[in-house]
Amino acid sequence: MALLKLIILSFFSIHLLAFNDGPIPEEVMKKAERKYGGLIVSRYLEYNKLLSQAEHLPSGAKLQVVNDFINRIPYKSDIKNWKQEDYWATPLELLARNKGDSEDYVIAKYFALKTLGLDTKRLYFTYVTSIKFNRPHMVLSYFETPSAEPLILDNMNPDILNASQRTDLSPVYNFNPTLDQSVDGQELKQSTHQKWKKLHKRVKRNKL
Amino acid sequence: MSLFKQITLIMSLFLLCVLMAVVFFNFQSAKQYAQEEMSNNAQNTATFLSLSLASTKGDVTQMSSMINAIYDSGYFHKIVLQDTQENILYQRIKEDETSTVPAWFLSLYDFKTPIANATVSSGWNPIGTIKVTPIEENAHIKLYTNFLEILQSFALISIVSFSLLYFLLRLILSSLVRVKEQAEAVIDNNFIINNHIPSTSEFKDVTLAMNKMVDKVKGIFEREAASVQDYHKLLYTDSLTGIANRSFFELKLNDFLSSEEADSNGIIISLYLEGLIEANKSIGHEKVDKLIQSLASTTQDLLKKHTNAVLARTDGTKICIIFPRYQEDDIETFSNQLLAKVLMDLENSSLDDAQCSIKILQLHYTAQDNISKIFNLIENNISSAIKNAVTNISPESLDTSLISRSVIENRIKEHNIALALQDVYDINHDIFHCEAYVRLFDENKEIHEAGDFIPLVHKMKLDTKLDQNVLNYVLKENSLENRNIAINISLRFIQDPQSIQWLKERLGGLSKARSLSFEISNYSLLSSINEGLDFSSLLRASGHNFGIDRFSIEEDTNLNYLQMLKPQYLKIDSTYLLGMLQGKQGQTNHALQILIESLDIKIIATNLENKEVKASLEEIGIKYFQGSLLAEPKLA
Repeated sequence: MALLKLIILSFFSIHLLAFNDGPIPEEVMKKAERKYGGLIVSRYLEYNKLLSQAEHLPSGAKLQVVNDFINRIPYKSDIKNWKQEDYWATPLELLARNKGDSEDYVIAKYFALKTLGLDTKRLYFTYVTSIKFNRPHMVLSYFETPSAEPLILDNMNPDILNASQRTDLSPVYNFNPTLDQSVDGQELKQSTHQKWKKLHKRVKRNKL
Repeated sequence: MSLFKQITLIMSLFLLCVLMAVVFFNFQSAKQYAQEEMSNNAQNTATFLSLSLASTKGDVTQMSSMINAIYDSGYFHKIVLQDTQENILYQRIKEDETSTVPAWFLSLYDFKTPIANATVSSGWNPIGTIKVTPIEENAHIKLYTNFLEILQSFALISIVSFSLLYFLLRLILSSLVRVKEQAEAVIDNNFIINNHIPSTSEFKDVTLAMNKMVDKVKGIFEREAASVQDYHKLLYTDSLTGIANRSFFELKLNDFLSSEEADSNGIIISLYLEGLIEANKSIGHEKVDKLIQSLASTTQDLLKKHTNAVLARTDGTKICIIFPRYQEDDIETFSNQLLAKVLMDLENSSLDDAQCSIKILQLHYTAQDNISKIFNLIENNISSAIKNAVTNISPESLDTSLISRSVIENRIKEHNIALALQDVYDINHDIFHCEAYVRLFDENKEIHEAGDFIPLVHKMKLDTKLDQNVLNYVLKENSLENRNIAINISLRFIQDPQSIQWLKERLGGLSKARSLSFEISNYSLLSSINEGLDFSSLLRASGHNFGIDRFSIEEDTNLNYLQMLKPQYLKIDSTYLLGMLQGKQGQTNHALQILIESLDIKIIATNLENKEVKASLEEIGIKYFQGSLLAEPKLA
């Protein structure tokens, strides 16, 4: 009976504490402290501080603040960081490890901006080719309007520039998680994009 | 409901539950798999198309061609290209076709067709969305086929399981069947020990317990039987010689004299030791007793061939032998042999010839005689009998019979017999059955009882014909139709296969309501026990009763034959029965009664002539009576 209660409570707590709907909850921080130590908690606190400070800023400023904060995290390839060819880390994982690759920056920025109230329909995961390094890369594109030229949030460039200014990048494919999860205006239970689906599950579980 | 049915029912329910669970979960899993597979394929196609469409830089014509190429592969129900305002730029839709899957099956589940979409870009900017809907029908067909396959597999599994279950249960429950047979056998007083011990522990325990019980009941039965034999011995054995005593002699002689069979006529030999009182005085009891013992033993040895003979020490100086159904020549030889042997015994003893002598008296008895007449005849002739010789004191020969051979032959041939009927009553004076006695009229129209002609009939070997006459008479006579008639059957009849076949046919033609009883004397039965068994089985199978007449306990005979024959009743002489049950000292010995009644056999006390005997028997618990006290035989 006690076990059943625990299961029910923990089920509720997962939903109550789901961080992607707001700042990182205290319980998650405690969990992170137990697992990784106090340094991580300080990063989480900084993150929460950023969110609370940026809450009332205009969209452009929010983009800048979030871009700057996330870009501070050093780059590390997935194979070295996660011993996997390609791994999409959750924001909590990225902050905990304090290392990530292009997809991880995009994801963290996406969730931070979502928390700050930006319309996710305007935020696209853009698959690009880095002409300079001649390798696949990912950036977060922000469309002020559907037909406007997007602003590019890139971990390789600290400045947020218009797409036309990014001649070093060649766009390949746009992916919008929100649009992916809706058909004819109706939201689907799950995305058909497997990578996103798995990531979203881990985000909901507050996986560290 | 039988255990077999219960287990089968439980197994059926169990299998049904498993089937339902397997079908449910398998179906759910198959449905999910089908949905995911469709979704993945659709998503791959949507993504692939969006990447391809990006190269057209927004040229709708080129994009339409690309969409057509994918759509015509036939795997998709619908492909729609929309701009960012969700206006349809191009679409292909497959017309709905009638499903090959039955409607009832489709109504069982909810299937959501996955729709995949991907953003179509031109450079950095999204220019629209491509939406891909796969064909649902393929998934339904796959699910339906899967469902049918599961049902088929289960049908096969069920057939195999139930066949195995049937044989397994038959095997396991066979031990219970054997226990049941054991129990039923005990009811029928058969004691079967089951040597097939099952390996299932519960059944093993039951079988072992049953075996123990059967063994115990068997032991009780055997102890009772032994106790009856012992008691009989105590009552009817001469303590000095070990042969029967006068009581037994009188009992048997009385039995023969009143018999309706051939043994109502016979010969009695009386061996008299003269001068014994003087010898007792001169040489003492011990030596005289030894002589008497040796005489008894010599006579017993000589009688080994004559199984029907009854040997008894009737008083201190006499040893008597009854030969029913005798062959005159055989008896003559026997008498001479006996004389020679006892004279040798006498010589070997230390008694002086002058003091003791042997006298052997030989006399015929007939159904017209009685015990006292016979004893008087012996006593009166002893003094005049020749010493150390055989003296025949019979006044008449059997051939001067009261009814002639030719008359007997004719009567039997012409089926011209008469029957006398005597009712047998239970304790409430209700008629139990009615015994039929055969009678014959002679040429002077005088009626003759069985004793007058049966010995001759036996000699003429017409017993079986006479028995057939009696049965025919009983079956033909309308007045006897509703009565349970007891018919006496001769030894020859049960030994003759043709007669048995004849009886089978006669009984086969009777209505089921008709019930007859057939009696055989204990004496006849013991000399032909196997035929008796067959006869009793035949009667039981045809719904008729089998009884044993003139029952007495015979020396060296195991009472188990009663258990094998399972007669409906035993007719026992009232005096003998009272003696066996009450004993000389008046103490009650119920062993015989318990033994017989435990076999579910009724005891009928016969030759009941006085009220005192009846009262005593009633007091002991005897419930059926026959005799002149209640009813004399009356002509039918």
